[in-house]
Amino acid sequence: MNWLKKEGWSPYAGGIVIGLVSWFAFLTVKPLGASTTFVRTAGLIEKLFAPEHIKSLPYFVKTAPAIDWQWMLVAGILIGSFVAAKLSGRFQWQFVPPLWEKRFGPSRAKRWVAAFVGGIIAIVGARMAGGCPTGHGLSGGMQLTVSGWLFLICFFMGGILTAQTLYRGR
Amino acid sequence: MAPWVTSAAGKLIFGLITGFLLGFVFQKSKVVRYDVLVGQMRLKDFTMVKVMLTAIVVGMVGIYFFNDAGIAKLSVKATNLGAVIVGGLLFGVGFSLLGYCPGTGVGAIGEGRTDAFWGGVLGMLVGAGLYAEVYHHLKDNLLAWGSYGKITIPSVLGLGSPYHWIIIACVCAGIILFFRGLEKKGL
Repeated sequence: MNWLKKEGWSPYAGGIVIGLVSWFAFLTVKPLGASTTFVRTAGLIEKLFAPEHIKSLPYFVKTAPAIDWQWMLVAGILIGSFVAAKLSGRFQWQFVPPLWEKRFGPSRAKRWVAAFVGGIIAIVGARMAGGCPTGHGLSGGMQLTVSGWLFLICFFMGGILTAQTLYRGR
Repeated sequence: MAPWVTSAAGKLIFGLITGFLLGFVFQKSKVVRYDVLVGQMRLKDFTMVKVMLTAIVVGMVGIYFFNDAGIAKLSVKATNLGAVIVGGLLFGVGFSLLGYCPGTGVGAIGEGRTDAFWGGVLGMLVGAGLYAEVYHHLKDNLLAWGSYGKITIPSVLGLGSPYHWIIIACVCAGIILFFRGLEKKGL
């Protein structure tokens, strides 16, 4: 079982296994996805403070704040990644990624602002589009949906433009 | 499908198992790292594209086979041009700032990357809450613009089963040629 402890797999091997996991999801419940879970969790947290307000918002009526299949899937990603990292000795507490530090320095505050603002923009985009790289990109892409491939193209356009701007001249 | 699979508790357990496997592979494929994901958008590291497109090829062949065999049905998301184009572009901008997507960001926390939690996950939860406040103002205009329903590339071309396999074969061939090109360039 050396491959379980191996530090990294070839991206093609990883892609094949993700493809097989997508069959499993498709045959047991439904295609893979992740971003709806952030809506449900935001709703679950807000419900503690303003339960009446949550009931009045059409978005939370459509996407009820509750723990469902996808919520457990996202929880599973956390555990699976942790176990894989521990097996290969790659688990490491780190706030500022190496590539970021080389470009923007070791400031945690700077990194936090970019990640926080980026997170807000990313989830708003994903929920507008109706999916993230997992739901639209992988599940949509493999079902040959027009929405999935259009999302992938726009996602890469926005992503490449932003990364090229952030790392201009590097 | 056995009834216990489709029960509420069965679905939750299957969700956890599926997620565990996915998180495990995400970590092994290195797509839970900022450097790899932003490296992709800088066009310097093609790990993410290789993982995604390989998964699409394998997933596509299986899912269309199961669909045609009547074991499972496709589950297609609707195409709304305004929503998908604006949402996709915005997502790309946010992704390159954050350096993770919703699924891989959670995987990054599993590897100990705390920026993915204090920045990424908290930002995404705040963003989801903000979006819920404005959704009803957008749903009848921007989000409804260019609505074509649940269409796929084969359905647009008028190809049903078994002719959609022509498209599947073309997509597989195109992706394999693209990979050959990447490897030749040493990317």
